[in-house]
Amino acid sequence: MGMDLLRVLTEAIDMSLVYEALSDPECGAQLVFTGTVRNENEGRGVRAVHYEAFAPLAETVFGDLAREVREKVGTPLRLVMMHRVGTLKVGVISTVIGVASAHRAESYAASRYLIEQLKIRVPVWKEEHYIDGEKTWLDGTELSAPYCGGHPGRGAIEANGAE
Amino acid sequence: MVSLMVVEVRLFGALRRFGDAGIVRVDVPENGSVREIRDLVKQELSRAFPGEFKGELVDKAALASEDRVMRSEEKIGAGRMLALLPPVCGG
Repeated sequence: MGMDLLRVLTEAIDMSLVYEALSDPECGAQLVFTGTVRNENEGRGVRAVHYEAFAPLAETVFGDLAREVREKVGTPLRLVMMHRVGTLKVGVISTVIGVASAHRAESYAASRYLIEQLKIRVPVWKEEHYIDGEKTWLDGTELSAPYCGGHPGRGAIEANGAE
Repeated sequence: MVSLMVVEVRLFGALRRFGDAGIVRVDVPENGSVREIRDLVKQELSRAFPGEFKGELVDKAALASEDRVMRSEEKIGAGRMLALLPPVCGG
């Protein structure tokens, strides 16, 4: 299997690169999840979301998650994990999780694991910009060693697995 | 006498606006621990932004290097660039 595509990006995500990275004659399944900016949160109208990341650690954690999900699924996978930073309007893609595998079941399992782990372990923050002009940094999940960097291995899968 | 070292800490998310271009510098005893650095950052920001800065933002944040989140008891060498990471919410 080729190289994973694991990136934090300031520019728009080029979906053709995602499909190219997932293309493999041994893979009958390509599953692409995109997360986009939604127009409301908890009843408030949202016009944009500003994303910030600690990029070097974020890409390291993407690598940790890639190792973990291969151990968990146990079959060859092609993987894409991407996150945008900057101020994104409603409807713009902020996140992509792409998985290719021989059969669909492994792709669905891997994709679900990666997106759930991304939300709680990758150092990314979002500030919602509301239609009324206010803005707020959202609360989230506290990071802790060793589940963020430091190659946690199997223990992290058992502790944090999204089944 | 304990010698001090300057440690630069990059601030992210809701913490960033309290830094100078997103960075706060603290004088830390040589071989100070992650816990000590967090306490010193909290003291410095409370002093610089009285009534505005809330200490719980730092209490909930993790101190990290570029490749991992560090444990509270770890010692920090001179010249390290660290990052203080509030609770995360990507996606």
